[in-house]
Amino acid sequence: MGSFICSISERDWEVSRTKGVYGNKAGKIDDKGRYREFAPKTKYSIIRDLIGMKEGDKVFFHVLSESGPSRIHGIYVVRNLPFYHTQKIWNDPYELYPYRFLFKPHPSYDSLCEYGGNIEVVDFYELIEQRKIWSLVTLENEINIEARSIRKIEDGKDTEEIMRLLHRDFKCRRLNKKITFSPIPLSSQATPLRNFVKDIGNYENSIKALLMYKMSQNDPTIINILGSVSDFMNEVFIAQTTRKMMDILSIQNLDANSKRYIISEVKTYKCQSDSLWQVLHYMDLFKQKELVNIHSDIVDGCLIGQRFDDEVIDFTKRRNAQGVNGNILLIQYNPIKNGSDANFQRIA
Amino acid sequence: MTPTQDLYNSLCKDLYSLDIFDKSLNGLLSIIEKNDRHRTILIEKKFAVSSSGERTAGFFFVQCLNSFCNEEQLKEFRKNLEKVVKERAKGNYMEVDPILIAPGYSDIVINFVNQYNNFQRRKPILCRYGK
Repeated sequence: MGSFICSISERDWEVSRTKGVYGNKAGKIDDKGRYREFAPKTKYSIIRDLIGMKEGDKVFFHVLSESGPSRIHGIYVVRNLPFYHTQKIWNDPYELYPYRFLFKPHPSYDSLCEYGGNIEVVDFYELIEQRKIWSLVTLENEINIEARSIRKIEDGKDTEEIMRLLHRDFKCRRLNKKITFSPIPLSSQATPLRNFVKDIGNYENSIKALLMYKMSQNDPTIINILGSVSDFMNEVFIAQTTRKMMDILSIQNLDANSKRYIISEVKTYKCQSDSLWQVLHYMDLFKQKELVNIHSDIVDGCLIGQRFDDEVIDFTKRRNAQGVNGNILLIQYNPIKNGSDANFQRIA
Repeated sequence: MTPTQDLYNSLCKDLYSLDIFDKSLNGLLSIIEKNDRHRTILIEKKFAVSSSGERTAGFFFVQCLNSFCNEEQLKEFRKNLEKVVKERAKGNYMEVDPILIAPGYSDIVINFVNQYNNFQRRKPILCRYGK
């Protein structure tokens, strides 16, 4: 199972939590006041962030308030696979928020949702400062980093820490009146989000979106190469200060005391020597994180691209043959079905 | 006694006896661990701090091979290096300078070390010829 934090405005949250539907926007207002759909790169980043979601995954909502401190609400669960639908739900003059998923209160913690259980976002940031949460470093949108509304977090200790705070503060922050939950059903007009993954081979976010989908579905074309994945995240900060991000981090539970982390870097076309340098550097940085047990955990690297420099292949094969400091996987992808899918093959 | 055993013994007696270390460049050095069987030496780099005497500034990990270095010996050296990095530097390879001394190296090893030094943001492996 996975775990997500989704950002939403206070205005839209009132509608969402009653109807059990969340939507991500498809465009923005330009400098001249006109509504413009996002360019493909941004569109695929939205799909990439959402498409790894599946029924039963946990969801928290980061509610952006203009009148007071922002809050995190939860805990909810996803009702079905994400989809695209343009039926008007929220009160916005331009935006339909068509990249959507349905949710409901978590059945084990429904009273938290029924009475609006929440924490202030500063308490969440304290968890990050205390290194109790590692899979996120901020919920803010930063300069030079793409705006993101949906972030996948670790479905283990990180999720439990947020749940702990929601329970800790429930008594003092709960509403007195029960919230009415009237979930809307999945419309027959809704299109599965998977159908919108196209242009594979042309956009990095497109191949990343496909990978996120395949991992969420335990698709054998990926699982046969990476192994059975227990959790996975995209765009994960490797280090807080440098703001460097791993494209995809997948986690396998080897046994009760041992995990295998695979740090993947995805390139649209060719993986060159700088890509290998990058993934090797990230592996070394990741091993120094407190969550990694350097004596029992394994940290592997992975490069995914359509082609590879000869030097990258040569060094990777020799390094893997020595079996020291974790392996590097080189995965070649070939777009198929008019760019809506891809074949994957491990070449080293 | 093989040539590199001689080197190993010389280093153990006096770290500055060979041209590997230089007092002015490397600061205060002291051997904190050695293994006569594998001919490995772990050296601590220190610098003077007025308030508390001396502080650690990292390590040198030296291995003196007594035979030509091929891929198998390189693999063992990297395994030993990894062990030191885990135990002494919490996995941070920038804390440990690796030095390999051997009478000679195969082309494959030289090529691999060059690639390793280019690709890994770590302290480079320094290969020295023991004469």
